[in-house]
Amino acid sequence: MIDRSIAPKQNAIEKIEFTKAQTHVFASGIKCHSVVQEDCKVVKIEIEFDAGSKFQKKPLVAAMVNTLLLEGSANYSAFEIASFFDNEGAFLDSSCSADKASVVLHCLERSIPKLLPYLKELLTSVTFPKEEVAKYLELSLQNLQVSQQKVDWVARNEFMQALLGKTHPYSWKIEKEQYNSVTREDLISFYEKQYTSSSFEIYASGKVTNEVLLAIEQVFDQTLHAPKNPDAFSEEIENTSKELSIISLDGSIQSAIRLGALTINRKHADFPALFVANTILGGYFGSRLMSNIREDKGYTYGIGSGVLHLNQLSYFIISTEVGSEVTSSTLKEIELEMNKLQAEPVLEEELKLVKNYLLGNIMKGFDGSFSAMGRFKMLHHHDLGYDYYENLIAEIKAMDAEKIQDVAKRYLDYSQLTKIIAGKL
Amino acid sequence: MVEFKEYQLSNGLRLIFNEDKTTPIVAFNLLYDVGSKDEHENRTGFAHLFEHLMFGGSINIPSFDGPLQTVGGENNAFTSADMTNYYMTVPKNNIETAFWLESDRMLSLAFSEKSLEVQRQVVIEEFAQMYLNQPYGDVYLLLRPLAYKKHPYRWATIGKEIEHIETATMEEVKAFFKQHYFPGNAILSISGDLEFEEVKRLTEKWFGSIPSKKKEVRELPQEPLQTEERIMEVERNVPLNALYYAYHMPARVDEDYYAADLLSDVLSRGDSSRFNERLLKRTSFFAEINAYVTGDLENGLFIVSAKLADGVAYSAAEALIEKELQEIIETQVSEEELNKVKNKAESTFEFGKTSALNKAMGLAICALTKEPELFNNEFQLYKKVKSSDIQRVAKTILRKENRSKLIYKAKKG
Repeated sequence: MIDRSIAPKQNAIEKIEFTKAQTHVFASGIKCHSVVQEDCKVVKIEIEFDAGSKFQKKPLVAAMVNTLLLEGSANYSAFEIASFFDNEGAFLDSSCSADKASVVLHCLERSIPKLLPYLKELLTSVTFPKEEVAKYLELSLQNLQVSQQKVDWVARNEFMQALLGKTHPYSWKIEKEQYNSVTREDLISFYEKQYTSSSFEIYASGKVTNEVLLAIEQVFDQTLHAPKNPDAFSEEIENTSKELSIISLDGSIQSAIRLGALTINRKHADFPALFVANTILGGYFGSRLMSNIREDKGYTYGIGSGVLHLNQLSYFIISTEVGSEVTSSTLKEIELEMNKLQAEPVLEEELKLVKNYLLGNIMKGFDGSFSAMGRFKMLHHHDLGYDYYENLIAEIKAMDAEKIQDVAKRYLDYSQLTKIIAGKL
Repeated sequence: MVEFKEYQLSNGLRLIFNEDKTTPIVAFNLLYDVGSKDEHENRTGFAHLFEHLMFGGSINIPSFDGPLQTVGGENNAFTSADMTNYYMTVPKNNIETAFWLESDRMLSLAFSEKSLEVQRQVVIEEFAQMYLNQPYGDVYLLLRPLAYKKHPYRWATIGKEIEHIETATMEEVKAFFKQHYFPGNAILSISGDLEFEEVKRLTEKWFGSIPSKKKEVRELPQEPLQTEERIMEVERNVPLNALYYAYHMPARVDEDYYAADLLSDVLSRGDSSRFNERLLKRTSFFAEINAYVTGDLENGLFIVSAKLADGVAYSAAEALIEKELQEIIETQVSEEELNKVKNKAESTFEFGKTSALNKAMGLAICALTKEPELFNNEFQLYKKVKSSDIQRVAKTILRKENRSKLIYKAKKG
């Protein structure tokens, strides 16, 4: 009979193999990064521009341009374009963050020669047809009404402005009235500046054969236009609110909580310790916030914390949705957990668990070419190489309770957090 | 082709193994053949509450998550009307920890009172967050009992009402475990860089001594044939009027399931689909319109859902939808349109095979549905569908007498 109370031998995670991306510089000067996975039939190609919302001069413009790229071109209607991609069973999506905007194609490898020319057409002969612009505004406005009833959306929409002040390029907030102010000219001017006058890069993962690479190179044979220097933009942080702001939503039975503060970036010497400290606090299922607020008190379905990195700044954030009647109790527990992390050294067992969890998690980040490309993109966006992971892994392995307590004192201070509640307090 | 090998323990546990040499992690998926359809009508939401309790410690191991995280692993689970599925990923040199943890909670849970009290509360918050505090969140809580009168699909997996969760007792929890959690009611599916012989050895070592129990034949009340349209109207604090049609349709194992699924794709999958192009883009009547199938293992639902633009009358919106449905009943879809939705199905399948976790989970679900081989050949079943099949199932499914209609009105503030 086996003794089930004894755990099997726990093996240390010695070596993590990184599935690395290769970078090809085409004759045109365009960079294409690839991660190859032989045992599949599909490809993901992402064309990424410096066209995130931080570059916009008016609200909504960056996201609108990004979405409308897919809605027809000089030579084809939106329906024709959609049909070309749908007929091949392909998925064409657009995505727009604060820093970057991209167009993403998921398709069978065999469809690549057929679809790439259309992809280029979409990016190079954009017309922003009046009726598509109007349709976009009409549908977005209706969807906005739905979003505005969701507590987590409302809290998220408020948060960056509370953290960075109203004028920072990262602090756009969506409001109903903005939809009336965007004109077709705004879109064209943003498109010309960010899509045709700045550089773009290509990320290809999956079954990226030599033929696929060649097809990409042939289609993207020149930069759309010569890149110019992008505008400098104000990075000044006007004022950070430390007051608790409450946005009341009538009839809400839950409240969304968002707490956060600016913090250090991935290149900072303290970052590995902060990374581990954040994980202990709220970065995984067994974290202290989850154990206390979900698994002990049952206040919420889920709570988490993270350190998020934008190109120009990094911030720490805690988010959750809790029963309205326990909103203030939840805040108290969060404060208590943060104070505890500052006041008491982490015990050996918990630290060991978190270290191994993180190493396993880094390993999982390289499972399959699509995940591995995600890892590469993160590094590339922040101007880091794979040695970042090597260093991070070494630092995690060597981490001790003292370092964690030290970074908790410096970077995880409840009184310094910007606090947003949507719902009820 | 996803290659796999199979093995069955003498206590009934089925093992499916896919060797994947390219991944540093192992995906370990354990599926139990129990879902919310197996619940008593006065104790709904139980299968899902139980899924939560499976993380509250087992007979020999006080914490499930801790030891897994300590070896670099992660896990999660989901419950549906048809199944409860537990999955984890773990670095391959620590695979035995997965066997140890998963086999102990199959052997027996700790059944701690504290765990029941807390998870009861967590599930109540989940109910609030996902169903009650979301605009349109309660649609399925209303639509299911409208469409089903006898079959247990008439309640949602989260449960009919919070009260069933609030009053669940420890005795009921124990009885549920005894009835559904045993080797013969489970399918273990593993994908990773391991040898089959080693996987077999570990399965025998950890699961082999768990007592077997005879699998009961499931006898669910069959849903009587619907003979007239059902209509329900509600008013909620939402911004836009919405509309839902639910039609009865064949089970996932039925040949006509695939034609019905492609029918929903012709109507609404992709920007060039009929609903998107003709109704969403070319008219100003809709904020959103979709058609999809629930994909249940027993006779499921074919759903048409729409949010109406401000100021649009239900009659006008419905007339437009009816016209599209009528057209697909009267006129066969073209070869081109049919190929389009088949290609979508093919690429979806191929993307579903690109990670160890997707493969392990897909093989287990296919084994429950019919056989693991379905994971490789299900696309062939889509490929076989002809335009005439789509027309035939459209005629059978999209009938008024087969429909339950939910009018979900925005409260005028």
